[in-house]
Amino acid sequence: MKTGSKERRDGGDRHLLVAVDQSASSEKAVFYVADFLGGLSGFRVTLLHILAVPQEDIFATEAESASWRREHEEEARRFLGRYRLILTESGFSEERVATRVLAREGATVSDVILEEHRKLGSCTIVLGRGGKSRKEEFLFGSVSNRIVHQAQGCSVWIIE
Amino acid sequence: MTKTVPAAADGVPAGAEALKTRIRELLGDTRVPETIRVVRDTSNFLNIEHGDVILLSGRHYLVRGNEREGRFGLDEEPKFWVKRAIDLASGDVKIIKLCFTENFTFSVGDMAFDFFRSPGKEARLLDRVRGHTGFMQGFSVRDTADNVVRIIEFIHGETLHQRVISLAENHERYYRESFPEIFRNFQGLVEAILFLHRAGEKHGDIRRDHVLIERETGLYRWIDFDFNFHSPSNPFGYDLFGLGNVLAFLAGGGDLLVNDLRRDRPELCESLVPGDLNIVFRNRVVNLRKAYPYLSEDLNNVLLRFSRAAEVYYERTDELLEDLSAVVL
Repeated sequence: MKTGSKERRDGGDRHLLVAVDQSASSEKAVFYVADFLGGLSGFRVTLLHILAVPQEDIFATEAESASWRREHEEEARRFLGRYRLILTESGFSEERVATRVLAREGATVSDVILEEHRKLGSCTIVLGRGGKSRKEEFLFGSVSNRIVHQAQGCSVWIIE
Repeated sequence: MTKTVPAAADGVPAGAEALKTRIRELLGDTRVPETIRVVRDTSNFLNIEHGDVILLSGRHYLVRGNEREGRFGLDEEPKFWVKRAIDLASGDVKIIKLCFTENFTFSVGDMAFDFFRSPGKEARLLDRVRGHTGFMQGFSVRDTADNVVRIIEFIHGETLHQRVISLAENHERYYRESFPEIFRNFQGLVEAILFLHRAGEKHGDIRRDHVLIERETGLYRWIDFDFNFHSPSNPFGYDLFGLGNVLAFLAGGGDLLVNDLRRDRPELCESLVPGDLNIVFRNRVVNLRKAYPYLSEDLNNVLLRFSRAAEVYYERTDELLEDLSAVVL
């Protein structure tokens, strides 16, 4: 856990930004937050999914690009709905769990998470960490590592 | 009475006889094709052959043949979508890259990457790097079937691979006499890649045979940037990996391979540990000081960031460039 120098509050609540995808490690992170904080007052959660849209070159046509985006947005809404249910069933009230899908072309996922963290003024970023090998991490990168290294003014929880 | 043949936008008169006359002026009698076929729609690039004239945006290009991949000095299959041609207006040699897209999975070590070849990406980058001395130069046009066609300035010179192989027979002499200049130019190549990354773009296929050293100017230029891949957690990781591989090749005067060491320097081979090897390619040594103890320690430390022992990896090109600028050879 990385502890920031100051905590930010949102309407009196501590605001956790939980960055997720459809992976098992993301689900674990959501369950961790539910187990740890479910039923306690004074916390709100934003479940955030970054939809990393490939550069236009990957698609043969605009229709193909639109279809890719539609499919992935629908998929994101499905798993965000499931994660939201995990939190509300653990005791978070409906109005304290928000979901958000941000589509970005050509951006680095960790940069978008940090940008959103700054906008929301969240005090904690929560992420799951999958079992990437060292060389996979080298070539494909690790969102959790980058967040740990680059996040400022907040805590980072990495759930394994 | 002389029949007037209308000129195209490049000033070269249209019509087979007029084109033949122009070709004769540029290349001499023996190079004039018997019949001239003018191609405006380049979709079927397999059928565009030596002696055809491609007409693009009002300019005529005489096709002289297909380019070849030429990976690491080995001639591979011809690239039928890449033609060597002569601009009939200026007489200059051009590389004409016709519209060919493909998606494929490429193995890097035991990992797989989904790549795609995109004429549109290379066309966009040609606009971005116009005037930058670290890249090949050119522009793109659309043919009559709306295909993106890139017209590239031909670079006379050798690849970085060829240059190093020709110099590095004796490593210590190469390292002391030739490498410093090559290393300085490599830093320029890394700066050029940083220029792309800052614009949110990747080269996509960084290899030592994708650098041409221009004979006339001595400039090192990146070529062939039509590959792209989707890696949102670390968009530039594969480019950085490529830069590390090129650097190890340059510093070693060639790849230092475990199999070669086993044959030529068995005692050194015995002393190797997994952390001495490239993080992906387990047959390549990156801890070069084990083989070449006179190699700069700073430089070796940079190479070790691409090794299996690395705890911290380069995530951004400016981090690599900063470390390179601190290297004292």
